[in-house]
Amino acid sequence: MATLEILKRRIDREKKARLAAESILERKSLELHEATVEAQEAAKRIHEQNVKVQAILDYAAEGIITVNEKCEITSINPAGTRIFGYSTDETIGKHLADLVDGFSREQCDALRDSDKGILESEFTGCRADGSEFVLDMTISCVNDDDLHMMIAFVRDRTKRKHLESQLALAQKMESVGQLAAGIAHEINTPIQYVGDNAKFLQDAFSDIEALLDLYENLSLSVESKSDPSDLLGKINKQKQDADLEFIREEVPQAIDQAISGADRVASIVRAMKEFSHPGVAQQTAFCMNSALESTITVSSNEWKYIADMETDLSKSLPNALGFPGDLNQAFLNIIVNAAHAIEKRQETESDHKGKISISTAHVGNWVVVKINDNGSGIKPEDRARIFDPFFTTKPVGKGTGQGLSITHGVIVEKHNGELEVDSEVGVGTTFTIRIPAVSGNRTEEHEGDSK
Amino acid sequence: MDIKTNILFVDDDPNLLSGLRRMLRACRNQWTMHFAVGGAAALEVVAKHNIDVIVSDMKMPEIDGAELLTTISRSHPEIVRLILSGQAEHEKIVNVVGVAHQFLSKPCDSDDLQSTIGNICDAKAKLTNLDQRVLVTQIGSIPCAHQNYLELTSIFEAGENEFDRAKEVIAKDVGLSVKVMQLVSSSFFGSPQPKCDIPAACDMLGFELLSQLFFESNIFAPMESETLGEFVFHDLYQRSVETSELARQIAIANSCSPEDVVIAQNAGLFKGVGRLILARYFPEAYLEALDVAKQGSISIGDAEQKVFGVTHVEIGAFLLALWGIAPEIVRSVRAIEESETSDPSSFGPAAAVFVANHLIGESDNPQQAAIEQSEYVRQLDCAQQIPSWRALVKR
Repeated sequence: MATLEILKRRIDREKKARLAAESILERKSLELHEATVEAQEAAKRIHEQNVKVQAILDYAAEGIITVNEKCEITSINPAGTRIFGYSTDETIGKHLADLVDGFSREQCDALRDSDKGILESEFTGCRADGSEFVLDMTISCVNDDDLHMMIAFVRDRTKRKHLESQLALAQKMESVGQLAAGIAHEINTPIQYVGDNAKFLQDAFSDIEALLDLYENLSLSVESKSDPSDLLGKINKQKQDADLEFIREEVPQAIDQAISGADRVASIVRAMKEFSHPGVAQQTAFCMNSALESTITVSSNEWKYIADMETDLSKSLPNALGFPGDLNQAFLNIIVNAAHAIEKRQETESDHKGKISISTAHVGNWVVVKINDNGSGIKPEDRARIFDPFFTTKPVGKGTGQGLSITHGVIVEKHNGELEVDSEVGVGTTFTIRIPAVSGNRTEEHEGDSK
Repeated sequence: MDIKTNILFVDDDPNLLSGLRRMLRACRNQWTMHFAVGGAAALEVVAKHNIDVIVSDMKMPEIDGAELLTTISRSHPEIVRLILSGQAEHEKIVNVVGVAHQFLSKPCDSDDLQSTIGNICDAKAKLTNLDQRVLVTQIGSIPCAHQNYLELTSIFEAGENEFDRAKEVIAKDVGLSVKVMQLVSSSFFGSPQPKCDIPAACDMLGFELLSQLFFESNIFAPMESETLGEFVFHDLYQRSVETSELARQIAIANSCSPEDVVIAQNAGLFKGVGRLILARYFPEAYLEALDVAKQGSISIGDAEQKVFGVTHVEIGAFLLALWGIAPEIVRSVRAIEESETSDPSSFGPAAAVFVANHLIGESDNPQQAAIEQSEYVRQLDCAQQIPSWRALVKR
């Protein structure tokens, strides 16, 4: 009996144990199922994420390149291969410096150790075909515990450079258009009085001619010894009608003024020709003084009703080296700004006498040009931005904010020159421009001596 | 009494003035010429002499042309104000449109200068009443119909797509049209086009400039009231348009050249200018004239003559000549008064305007003599055409 009892209890125990085991099994298998579903979902999510990341890489307009600690390229996206002209396989393993000229391992190391971990700059890119181009590159470091790499974003600037040069041309056209109206006004006045004087000379000559005919008759009549009194009367009348006194007095002046008017027109036309210097693509040695003089003449309608122009141009100036057409454009922008600044000051100080002074000097290896005005001056908070493209303080229609930006580009970038601004609100502004002189001639002066 | 015309030339360039002085020496029998270097000197001359006409440069240091003419228009409104300038910037010229009667552009030859001043002086000489003369040289705009002004405001606010509608509104309003024609008849905004029709004149100025002028200058102004006694201004604007259209059709029917057709059309429109001036600026006297016409059963023209000493035609013709409207157009406006018509040997724009005005008048005023009785029409020898012209009158 006892055995039976014992067996029964064991069976009960085992039954319980089995039940327990079954329920555990059931729970575990449920858990397993849930885990599988979760894993599947996670995998799906990861896949989606991957597709997204890949799409970002594939469709980004910018080249995206990853490099390892040794600066070797570990991946490149399609835009990157397009920019550089290499295939993906050709690129992997190359040093970043092979693609981006001037980017060294030292820079790489310095970047990793720096706090910011970001470098942004303009570089020269080298394409597979050996051609070079300008690119903007931003590199950031990934410095996680188990992941060390760098990501470079590369942007081709070729198109933008092209647009910039078109913009510069547009600005030039705009200011030439503005000048054209002023030049028309400058030329029309002398043309008017050249014509008026010529018309007067024509009238005067026909009066004189009538008188000459009478004199001719008189001389014939004297020769033939006939009575000249009738002719003398006619001569006196004609003298009075023609106002001979007036003609004698005015004709020489009329001739002088007609000639000076024609000279004036000729000098404006000559200055226009010198100002634009069309088709000079190469650096040339040129005389800075005459470049300034032609710019002053061409722009005179912009300043002459607002300010007096004083020039102090050094007589012992060496030739400068560069692109006179572009420099004239730069000087024009500064002169027009000076006139506008004086005009602005005259709005509040109506009796303020405007003055623009332009001087040249030879200092070191530079030809130095100073353009000073007694206008409103540049506010301190604007000073840092005056060379930024599209920055302007002028009202709509008076400036596009490109003038000084282009001026800066011409002087600093194109000529390796220097451009400084010195300005005080309510006092005026001085621009100092330094352009390399053609080496090895003439004596030096000291800057500021030219006064 | 000084019968010569006193003319003052102002420029900041002495060479230019001495050039003018020499060139215009041939005019010394008709003109007494004064010359001033700059605005300040000009004001001194104006204070000392009885100047009739001032011819000033625009761009001058200190006092510029716009400022000088504005000052003079206030102190001496009777002086005729002309600009002689090489200026080509619209921005600057906009400042002068309200104050200069005409704009001559440098270089300007002596014939143009002489004929411009001569035309103005001739028209002025026919107006003996000083008040009327001063008034005409003083006004910068001819009032337009109120409704047209409102319509044009909304069109210019709407933008360039509505340009065609703007042209229509301007072309049917004598006040707006005559101002637009003033701007294109001398060199304010480019080469003069004195003989174009109104839409072409609008095209020449362009939507943007017209809109700028409309909002920024006061050269377009609406008639302040709609009636004067029993006189309804709207009728006057309406008559001008009808006369203009009828003159155009009659000119075409009589094989006038395209240019003459436009002259007839513009003259027909502008014939109302003088009446607008009288009614707007001398309302009391004009009411009296209306009364005189009614009491005495005479035409308004005769009543005007009685009250004002001139007819509206003389007043209008002086304004048109002053504003540089083509002499052919001014002559055709004058032709409305039979005694002024000349040369009946050929049927020109003047005849077309005369006939159109007469026929419109007949239908308005039964007391008016029929056109068949006109000596002028008899001389034109075109009696057989009268019925066909009558048929053109729309009522």
